[in-house]
Amino acid sequence: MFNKKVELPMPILFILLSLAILAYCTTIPRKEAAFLYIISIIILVSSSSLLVTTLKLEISNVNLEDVNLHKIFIILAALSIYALALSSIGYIPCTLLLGIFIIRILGYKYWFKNILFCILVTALTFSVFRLILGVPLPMGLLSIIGG
Amino acid sequence: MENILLGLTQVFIPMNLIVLIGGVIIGLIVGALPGLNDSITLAVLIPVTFGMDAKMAMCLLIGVYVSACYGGSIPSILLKIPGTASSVVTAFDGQPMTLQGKAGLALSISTFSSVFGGVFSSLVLLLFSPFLAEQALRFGPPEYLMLAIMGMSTIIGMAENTILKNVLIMAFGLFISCIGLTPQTGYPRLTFGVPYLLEGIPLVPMLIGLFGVTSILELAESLGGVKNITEQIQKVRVGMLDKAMCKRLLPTWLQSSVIGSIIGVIPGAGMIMAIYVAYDQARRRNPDKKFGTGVPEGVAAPEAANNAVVASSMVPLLSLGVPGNSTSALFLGALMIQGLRPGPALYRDYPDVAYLLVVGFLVANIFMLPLGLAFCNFLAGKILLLKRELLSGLVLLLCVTGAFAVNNSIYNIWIIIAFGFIGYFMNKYKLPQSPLILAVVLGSMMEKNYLQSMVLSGGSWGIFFTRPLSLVLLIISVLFISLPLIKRYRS
Repeated sequence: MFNKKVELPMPILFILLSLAILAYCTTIPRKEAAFLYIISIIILVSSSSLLVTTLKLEISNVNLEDVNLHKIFIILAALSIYALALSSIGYIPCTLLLGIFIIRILGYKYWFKNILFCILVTALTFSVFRLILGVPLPMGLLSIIGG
Repeated sequence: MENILLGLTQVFIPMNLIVLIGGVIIGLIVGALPGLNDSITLAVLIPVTFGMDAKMAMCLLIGVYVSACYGGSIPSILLKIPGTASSVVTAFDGQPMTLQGKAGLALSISTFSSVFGGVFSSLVLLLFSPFLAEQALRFGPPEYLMLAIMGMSTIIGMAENTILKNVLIMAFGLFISCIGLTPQTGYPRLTFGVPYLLEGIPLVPMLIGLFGVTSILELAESLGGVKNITEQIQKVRVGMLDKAMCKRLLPTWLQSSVIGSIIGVIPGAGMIMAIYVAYDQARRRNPDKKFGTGVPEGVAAPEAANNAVVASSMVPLLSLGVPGNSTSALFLGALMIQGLRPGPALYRDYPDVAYLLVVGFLVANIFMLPLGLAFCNFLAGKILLLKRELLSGLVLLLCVTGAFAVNNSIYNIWIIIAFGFIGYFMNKYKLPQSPLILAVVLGSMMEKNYLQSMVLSGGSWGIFFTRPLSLVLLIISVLFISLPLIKRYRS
């Protein structure tokens, strides 16, 4: 069966993107916009054609029925919180919490093993990147505690 | 010859060799684990190579790339669960062989076929790439522009039923490549006042998002939860193939290696096409055998072909600077991080790195034979039982740490989140990722060379038709797009 709600957003999204690029091109010098003009027209033509072919479909290509979209958004939200909190809270607590949370959300039920595993991985990545490779991973709270 | 010796001496520096072998072992492990593959592993490992010398870093990545593809055949044969997409076809005859109690033989065939295909394509890389690079040194801006167009047209030509989607995604990739300062005047384009975007979207965090984060999202989406391997793994004894079996499989190995090497050289064609073509050709060559019931040739053909794609996919990258597939685009990212730019100048300016890459593939394939046999005998059964939730947690933590480490910026984490979602969205809508990556890589090269060509010609497009090499590349590009379309129209 063809599911309009699922199939149509993709080509429509690209059509909107191409229109946004075209609008943006009018705001910058013409010389700098030449390549973007060509690209936006290609996107507009191909996504419009895709919209037409999609409308002719009788069976959906995309199946979202067996998909847990909630989990996808939870993971993306967790990653966003991680990015926001990293510099203030610090690499070690943030990464540890992110690891425990993601493994749990993926369905792993054993808390103790989960926490132990994440402590080990966080310690390992911290040692490799900060101590061996010299990457200045944010220390956050730890730098305040350490003075 | 002198340069090959230079490559050999670089590979056999003890530390480089240890790292290469380590890479082969990592590749075997991740290849055998369903859900992980060479691209994800390379994306995650690139940031780890920052502190390494360029040659050592390349050894690690070569080892992983070479063996991950073979590792995927192990669960494919034992459990009918392909470890990587390139081993889907191996299950057709590999799994029936396991059911007949011949799992050991199937794995031995897979190992020998992979090594044969890998060594064959490494020789193609060794002989073909430096020659092509030498020719490419004569290229000017119009030729480079046509080369980029040719790379893109092959992807469109190969698309069969998804041409529109390929064109759309390619244009989207070109759009992403426009973010940042313009090549001609340094005007900030699509940066919206964010200083971080002035240098454009960084390639490595983008690839970490597309491969690493997307793989976690795909694992999380299942309503039934993550599916781990819980069934008993058959204890197998894998060893050397006897002379009669080698003699029997030799024509299949040769045929499939040639197919894999040719397909690997064409940008965008990829492993999946190689394994199906090789399997189909092996079936046509052996009409008396019933493929799909446990025929050794059915395991040998796809395994030789997919490993033949590995080294040959590096030919366009090393000689022309155009990645052959998404995995070789990761090599491009890794080389750029080390301050090197693949292409003809690499052979001239950094022969030690260029020939280490070429010879490294050959050596890694040779080492894969004993390591692969040992892995099947002792480790594979245990590794297959590792919990995917824990592994995914490990991958994600490496993704965020690695992305940050690229240039010590939290913005990179936003890039992996954005591209993780874009990759997931694209997979759901069956939009191919290769054109996106190729277009992002080639986009700035295209624009820069187009502008330089226009300066050279005083604004006339005639420059693309009057220079012989440019014209030849243009004709090839047109043929790449038109021939499949004509064929489709006729059929």
